Amino acid sequence: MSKRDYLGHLELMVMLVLIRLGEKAYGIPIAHEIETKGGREVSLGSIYATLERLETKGLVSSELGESTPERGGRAKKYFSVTAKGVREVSEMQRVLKQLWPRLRQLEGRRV
Amino acid sequence: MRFSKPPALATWLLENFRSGSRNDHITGDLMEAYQSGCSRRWYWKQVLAAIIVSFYQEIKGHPVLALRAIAVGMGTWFIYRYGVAPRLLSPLVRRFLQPTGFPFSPWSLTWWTLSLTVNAASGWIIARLHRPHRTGMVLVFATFSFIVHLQTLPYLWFDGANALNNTRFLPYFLNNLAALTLPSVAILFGGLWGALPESEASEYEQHSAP
Repeated sequence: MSKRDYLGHLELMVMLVLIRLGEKAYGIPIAHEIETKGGREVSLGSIYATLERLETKGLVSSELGESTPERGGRAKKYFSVTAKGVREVSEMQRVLKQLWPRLRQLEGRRV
Repeated sequence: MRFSKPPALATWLLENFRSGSRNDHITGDLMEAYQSGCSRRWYWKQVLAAIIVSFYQEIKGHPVLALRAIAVGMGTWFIYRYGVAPRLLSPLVRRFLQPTGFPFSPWSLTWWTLSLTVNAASGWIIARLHRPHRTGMVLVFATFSFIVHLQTLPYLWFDGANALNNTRFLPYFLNNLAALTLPSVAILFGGLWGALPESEASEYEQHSAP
């Protein structure tokens, strides 16, 4: 079996949010989506550290966008999932689906 | 929507002490969130979290470089402490100043100045030797220096408690407080100096050269 790195918890969440948000994904909407769906606050620093790591792995690409006055003239950085990233998320989904059924400790729990 | 300026010091810290890629987009995101109603407390929390997270990532990703940065900083200090200071500076300073143990004497202030200059120089050297990771590596050595100087904490506590009752202890308390904090501040200052825009420009030219 080949040795490979699986996505971490926050990495997977960020990847899923990027796919969900589509082209216009940058720091604030990503953090907001994770907070809304995950129910806990995540710092922008953690989000960007994760995005930079995913970009280094080639799972995410970025491009600079427009700058606005309320951003102090600083450009947005838009992120999107690469084809390799989509494959990685699909693989993760497949692995998790295989591991999920018949977990006695989780049976009867409402999610 | 309000257009008020977010805390300038926090923005400056983020732009100068977060490691990794350029931080314009993060600063922009935080400013945008601040304009849409987030508090100053939230802004500060996000800035500190961003610096701490990037610092941790830098050490985790480059442990050998972090050790090298500490070795370079310590090396600079040892050369000064056991080479330059006793052989060159000490005889020179003794010609003009009377040695004394009082914290704010000309003798003491001279040595403080020399010592902080060497700390700044070590930060500058580390920044220059670790250009792609200079912020993280300078922070590593500044943190290391702070931890080493925590040995002054009992004296700081003792002199602080005494200074509450007797102002005679106040200079000693201030001296110990300076001994705890100023070396790290000087290292950071030197590191920032070593990362002036002109060095960024030359580095960019090196990377973009075919």
